[in-house]
Amino acid sequence: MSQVTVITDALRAEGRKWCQLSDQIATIKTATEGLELSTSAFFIGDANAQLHSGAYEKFQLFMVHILSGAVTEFDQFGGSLYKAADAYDNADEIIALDLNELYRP
Amino acid sequence: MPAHLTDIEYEGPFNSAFTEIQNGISTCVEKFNELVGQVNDRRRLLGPLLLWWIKGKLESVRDGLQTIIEKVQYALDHQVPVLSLMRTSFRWVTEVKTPVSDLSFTTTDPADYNLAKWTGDASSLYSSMAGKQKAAVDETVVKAEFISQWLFKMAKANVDYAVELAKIVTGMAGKITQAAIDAATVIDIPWAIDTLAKMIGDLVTAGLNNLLTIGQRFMDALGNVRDIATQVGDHSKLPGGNWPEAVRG
Repeated sequence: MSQVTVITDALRAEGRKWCQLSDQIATIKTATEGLELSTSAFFIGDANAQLHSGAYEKFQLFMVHILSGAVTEFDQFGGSLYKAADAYDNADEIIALDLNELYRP
Repeated sequence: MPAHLTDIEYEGPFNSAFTEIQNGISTCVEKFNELVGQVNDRRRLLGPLLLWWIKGKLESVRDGLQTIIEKVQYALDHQVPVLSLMRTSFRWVTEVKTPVSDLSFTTTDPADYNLAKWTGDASSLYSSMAGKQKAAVDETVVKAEFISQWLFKMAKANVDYAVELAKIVTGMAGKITQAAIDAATVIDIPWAIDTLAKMIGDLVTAGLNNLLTIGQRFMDALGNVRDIATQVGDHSKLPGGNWPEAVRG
């Protein structure tokens, strides 16, 4: 097996890894979306829970937002590795790549 | 940092406090009515003046009871929703923190060791970006742990509140039951009711103070942090509150 093939195989395996990580974090993102709480869920006493509820909601939405980002980034990151592997295969050598082009969706 | 209690461990003392509260309130109402019945049965023997005095005392007992019943009613209406808070505190660990932390190692562990043969600028840029992805994963773990603990503090305040309320109600039930026993003879009625009125007054005052303290603890759990998301942990790992971009676009 040529050095190029060894590397491109490794790159595709790494690309697959990131796509799988994307799928795994997508499941976690969905779970996070389900962690909503109503204002009445904060206290059994007659204290105002509006601020608690508002702060929590903001936090939960923030977590959903960043996890959504992770789903996208992991997937695209994996795609870049496939792209590099294809470029090396086509050239049949480890050529210099335009990095701006490589790490772009 | 305290070990994580499971949702069952939260819910146990919470729900048993509510069972005590409900049983206690039933006893309070039943025994109070019994006491009123005892007074009514002997109204002619007691005479109008004493009866008027007793009525005033019984009213103060009833007012105290009413104050606590209002708290109980409010708490009962929130019992089930607050259970969801307790479960959610736990779910942040089981459904978010643990599974995200399980991904951390994989991010920088090569799927194929021959990846090490890949050298040059594209490869070093890859390693640097993979490191940033890992840092963001680890930061997400910190945040999930934080929110779980934050909810845990509130769950704790709720359990304390329910336990205190149960203590008040059980205390009242005991005093009213005792008064109904003590008021068995006409001679003892004024004394039994006078004692009861004092004791209920004290129980309610002390109980409301304790509930207020717990309520304050609940308010304090919020801190002065309204935007907890951006103020917890190392936000530089999530630049601008976003997941770090590995791929620009």
